[in-house]
Amino acid sequence: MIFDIFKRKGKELIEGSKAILSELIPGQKAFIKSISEDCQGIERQRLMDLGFVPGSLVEVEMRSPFRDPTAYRIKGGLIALRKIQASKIYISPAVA
Amino acid sequence: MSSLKLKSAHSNCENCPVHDKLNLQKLGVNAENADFIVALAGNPNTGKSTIFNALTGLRQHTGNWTGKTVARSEGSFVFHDNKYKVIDLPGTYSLISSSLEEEIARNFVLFGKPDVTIIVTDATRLERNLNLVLQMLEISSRAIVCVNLIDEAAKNGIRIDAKVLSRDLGVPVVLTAARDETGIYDLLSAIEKIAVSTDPVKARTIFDISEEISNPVNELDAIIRKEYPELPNSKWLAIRLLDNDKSLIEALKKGELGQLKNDAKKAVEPNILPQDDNDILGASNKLKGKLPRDYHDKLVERTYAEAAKIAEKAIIKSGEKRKFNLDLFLDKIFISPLFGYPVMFLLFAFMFWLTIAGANVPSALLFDFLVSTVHPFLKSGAEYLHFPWWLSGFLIDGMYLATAWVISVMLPPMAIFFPMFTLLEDFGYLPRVAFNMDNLFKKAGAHGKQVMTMMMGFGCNAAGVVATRIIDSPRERLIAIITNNFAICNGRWPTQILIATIFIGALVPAHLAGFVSSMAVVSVALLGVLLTFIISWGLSNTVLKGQPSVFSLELPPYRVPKFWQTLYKSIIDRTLFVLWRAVVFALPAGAVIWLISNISIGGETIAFHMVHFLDPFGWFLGLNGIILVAYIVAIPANEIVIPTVLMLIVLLTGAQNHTDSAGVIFETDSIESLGGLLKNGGFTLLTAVNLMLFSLIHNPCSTTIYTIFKETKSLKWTMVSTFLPIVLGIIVTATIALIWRLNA
Ligand SMILES: Nc1nc2c(ncn2[C@@H]2O[C@H](COP(=O)(O)OP(=O)(O)OP(=O)(O)O)[C@@H](O)[C@H]2O)c(=O)[nH]1
Ligand SMILES: [Mg+2]
Repeated sequence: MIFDIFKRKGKELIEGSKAILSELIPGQKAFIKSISEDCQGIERQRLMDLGFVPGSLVEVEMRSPFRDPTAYRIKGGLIALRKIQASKIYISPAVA
Repeated sequence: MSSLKLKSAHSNCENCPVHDKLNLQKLGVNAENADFIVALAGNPNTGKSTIFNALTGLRQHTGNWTGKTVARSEGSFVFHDNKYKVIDLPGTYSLISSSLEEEIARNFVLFGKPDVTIIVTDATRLERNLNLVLQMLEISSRAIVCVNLIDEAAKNGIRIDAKVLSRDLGVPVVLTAARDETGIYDLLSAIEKIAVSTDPVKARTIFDISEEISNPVNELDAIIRKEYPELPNSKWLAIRLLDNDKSLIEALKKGELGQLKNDAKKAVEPNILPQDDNDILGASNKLKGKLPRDYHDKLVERTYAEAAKIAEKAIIKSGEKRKFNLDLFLDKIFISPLFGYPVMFLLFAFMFWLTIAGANVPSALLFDFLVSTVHPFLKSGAEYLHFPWWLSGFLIDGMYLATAWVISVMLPPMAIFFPMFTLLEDFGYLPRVAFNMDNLFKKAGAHGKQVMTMMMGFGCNAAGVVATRIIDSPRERLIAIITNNFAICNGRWPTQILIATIFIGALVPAHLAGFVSSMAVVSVALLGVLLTFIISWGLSNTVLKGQPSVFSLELPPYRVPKFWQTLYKSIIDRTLFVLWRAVVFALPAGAVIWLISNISIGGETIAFHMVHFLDPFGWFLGLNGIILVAYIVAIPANEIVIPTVLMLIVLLTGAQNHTDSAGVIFETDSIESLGGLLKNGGFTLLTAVNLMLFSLIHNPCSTTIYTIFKETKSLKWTMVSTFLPIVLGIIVTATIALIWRLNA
């Protein structure tokens, strides 16, 4: 099931096969692949400080009532990100 | 100050040999002539302030959300005859600072040269915490890694092997559960050992960087070492300079680099320094070109990779996790699309209702005692001692009475509201509110964390303004500062509660009165929230245009608060502290009120002139002259508005009903008779409604205005924050008065 979105989204995305974190739904897991190049400076640093570095396993834990922001479990912490930021994080499928 | 107070018998005695525990003297804030300086650093919400309190006996505010501490605070203790000064720093995620409170923490560790740095970590999130630990150790080896929250980790089936961790990190590791003071003694011994040791500061070797990176780094490192041979962390400095670290480059330009040395006394004359430092900067700029584009990422990833390796070895997963995950269950309710908002609303409505309903009886009792019993007693005492009328009037009818009023209207609601709020805060609910509401704030162009500063504002707006430091983006921080005033602070709650109880509660049958007046107060509070959104939206679409910035919020685990401890702390620290502030303002205000009511010009008192002068404008706003005079007198502190109103009514009109001589007191003994008094003063339902609104929408108190100036360092924004609400308040009340009268 988790692979579905990679198939589906893979074609549509400009960056080729790159799936993005904001596409995951609660309960799904993935590995962080990279952070987009348009995310620079403080924003990039903050994401990395919170554990969003390549290779980290991330799981979507819950969505806020209005569906944005979303809380991700990463390196033990529960971190809420807005969709606009999560869409700048590329992921690769985690084999469940 | 709890100086010299020793903890007596304690449940964790296994960990603290009694004879040695007695060697600890908690000295509170008395931090003069310390032998050693100890800094507490680490990730947010790891228990730094809790450890600080355990060491110093102070009661620095703690709370279950990241960013509770935003400024550094100091305290001290004596252990084995050495005096230690402890600095509690704001939490940071990394040393590459991106917000104000992170910069405070990092600069202290860098330039403050602590003798010992305690790096506090969360046992349940060790890997991410180690990321910061490794960065810190690259600056200084005079450090202790304190793995806190081991009780929580144990509940999650996690144990930490301190020996393995200590071997891998090369510094002492202490396991603690600071809230129960477990392991504090071990921590003390570790602090002592490092403090008295004469080993020079070393820096952790930075390895594992590819050649592509290490060549330029080593080159710059060599240049730095030539200028500053004693610098222990030159390689770290080289790495950071090549990474374009703004504040370090700034420090270098100012010639502060000498301070980074082991021994500050050897610092070279500042006149010579800039030249040398310019060499370093020049070299660094040249070398930057040789670095790969993803240099920065590589560095961060390298640290994380190492952290992961170390963490894996040190973490022992023991046994099973708890079957029932309380956190998940609670979040299902608090965050759910269906229940999230209703639960939030009901929770706050319940808190307000409990405050209002619970405050009634104790308020009446206090009033009965302080005003109806003690006051006449003092008066007859003064008469017996032959005080001149003006002296007893000034002291007893002015200063004493205003204070008595403030205490009886403020103490009960605060003593109920603050402990409840603190419990909620310790529980970990506040970040969930921010999570729930972020979407609305995003639409208003503001930051989700603004909701947390708003909730601090419900306690005190000045505190709320300081709390905005947790918002990284300057634009969004400014929005949060300007709108904080729309969170009704504790100084305004009594006005809301009293007026709602007397005028709104009276509209319905007695058994519904409590509920209806609570709802009236909740509505005003909600209107404040609505205004926060509207004004934030307006600001971010006009003068503070800009893109919504980065939002990241850590949701901490729920923690069952220590009930009695929290209760005690919130009564002592918040309730009495705030009450004290109110009393400090009430005393002179009482004096002023008495004076303006008793000094006559042209046959009428000053108060009379003022009230009559302001009456037409007050009428236009659906208020009256007395209220406006009260708001002028109450600029220093909102809490004295109601007492001022009452005293002015008594002094100007109510005298014939209640007492015999002008400028003297009345013998009302309950909330009901207060209502009678207000109605005597010309209060109507319109006055009541508009007073509640005006209390929400007017200028911040002088303390908050001053705090805004300190935080923004801008006269312009201070003015905006001051005048925007008052203008808005005038518009709102005038409009309502107009519509009301047209329909009447
Ligand atoms: N169970 C448990 N809770 C703890 C322990 N230490 C601290 N806490 C709780 O953790 C929360 C955070 O504690 P603080 O001392 O405010 O954390 P801090 O590191 O100062 O946080 P910031 O100032 O935001 O950086 C509070 O609710 C404490 O009561 C502990 O050892 N065990
Ligand atoms: Mg703190």
